[in-house]
Amino acid sequence: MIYFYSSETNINNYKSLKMGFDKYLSEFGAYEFQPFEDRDTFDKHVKSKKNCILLLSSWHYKHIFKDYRLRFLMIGIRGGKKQQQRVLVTRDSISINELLKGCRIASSSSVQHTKSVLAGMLEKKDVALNAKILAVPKDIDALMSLGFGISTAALTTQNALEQLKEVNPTLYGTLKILAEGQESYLLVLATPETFMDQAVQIINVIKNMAMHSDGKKKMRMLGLDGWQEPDESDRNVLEAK
Amino acid sequence: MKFTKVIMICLLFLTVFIGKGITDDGPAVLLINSDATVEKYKVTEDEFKKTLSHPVVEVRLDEKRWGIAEVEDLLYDTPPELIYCIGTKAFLIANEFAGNTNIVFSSIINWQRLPIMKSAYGVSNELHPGMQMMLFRHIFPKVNKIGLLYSKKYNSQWFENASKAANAMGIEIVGQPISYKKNSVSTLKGMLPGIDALWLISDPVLVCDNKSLMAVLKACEKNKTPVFSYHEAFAKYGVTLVVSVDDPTIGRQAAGVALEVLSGEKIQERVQNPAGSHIILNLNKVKKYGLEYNEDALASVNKIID
Repeated sequence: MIYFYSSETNINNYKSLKMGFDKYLSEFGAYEFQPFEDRDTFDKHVKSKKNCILLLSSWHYKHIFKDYRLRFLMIGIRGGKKQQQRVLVTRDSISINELLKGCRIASSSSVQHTKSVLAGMLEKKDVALNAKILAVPKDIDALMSLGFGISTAALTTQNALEQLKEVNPTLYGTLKILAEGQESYLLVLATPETFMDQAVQIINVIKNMAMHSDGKKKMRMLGLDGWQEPDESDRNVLEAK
Repeated sequence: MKFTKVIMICLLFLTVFIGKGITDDGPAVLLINSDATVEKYKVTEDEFKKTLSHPVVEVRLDEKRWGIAEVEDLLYDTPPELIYCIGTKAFLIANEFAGNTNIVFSSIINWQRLPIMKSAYGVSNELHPGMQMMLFRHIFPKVNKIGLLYSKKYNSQWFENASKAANAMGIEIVGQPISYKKNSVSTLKGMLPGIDALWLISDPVLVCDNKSLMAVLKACEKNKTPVFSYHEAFAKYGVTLVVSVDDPTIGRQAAGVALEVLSGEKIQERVQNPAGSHIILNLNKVKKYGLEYNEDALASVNKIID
């Protein structure tokens, strides 16, 4: 069983994901893909599972790997990069402190995760707790809501900004980066420590998805174009004590 | 008889309000849902309540116990601080009997046709045309000329706004006005050779019945011209791309407006555009027509028909 939940990425195509992955994986064995819409349900469900694969955001992994006795085996990549950088963008002349005093910030991440990222961008971290967040389904929605005056700022990624440059260069040209977050890893693939040896076969199937045209398309649905094995430095960051 | 009715209303009020502990926990928000059995209304309601974090009293107009008179009595006897209306029916009743109480509305098709009081705020049910075009461009970067049939009577202003937004993105809108349904297919046939896609918009002349809609879709199919539309109901008719509003986001936006109203904040815009989109892509049509699409955009697609 492969369980998926991402608090961080703009993925909400759950039905298509399940259908697409189930169809693809069925060619390699009796595997099933189960996406989750909310974190609590995901956490409760996977806590007691021993024989499974988890696809989750690196931020989420860092929060649960000790309690759940997990080990991550691969990191998702996009455009050859395994990390992404969050950016806070606006069209107005406004400081970040003014922005956090009641202006609407659109974000495709969960409210909890958005506030955590904002806190990481600020010196006074508690200010981020009061930020007014509008959760939207996709990064492009966050940027459009900024472009069409629904929000004052958008928390997005450098990658989404690059996409906006292609889609609407005029809007892109009006945006100002107000703050930049630290780079964070994309989705990670993990298993319970006790299942690592038995997971080799399915891990290989997932690892090789990008080599097949249909598998590549399914990876795109997760916002990825491949996987990379972690090195020691990745492990130091994601499993820091 | 009238006395009995008053007693019943009072009992109902006590059951609903005190049962929810509304007296202690914060301002009273009355939520009126036109029909909670409709999935999109239900989803919007659930997300509103989840986001608001204030006690909410619910009136579901699909339940027999809630007639217009009962809602009127409830509003008259104990006016809440704010009424949130989901759908047109809920809004019309609240608008009639709310007095000075603030109203927040959502999920109303073409809200501009309704009488909107000064104390009413809302979230529109239609994505800004510029947002729709951005999503068209995101998925089909090579689509530059988009055909559009519209009636001047209903959509003249909308067409102008859409054309302006399109120009800003380097997209050309090839618009043709139609005055009655019979000339829509002949007008379309003349337009097809010069466009990359047809944008099927909400227009009462164009989409007036199933027969004329099918004739439009058939003409596009014959010419291998993709059709982009605004409502998921069109997905079953084989349109290539549907870009519609995301209902949970509407619920969250409405809750945000309600919180601003309740805290006495200045509301920047009385009626907000929806901020979230829901996308359906028919990959079968994409393959059949030999269209190029942006694979990186697949993560933004909610439903893929393949």
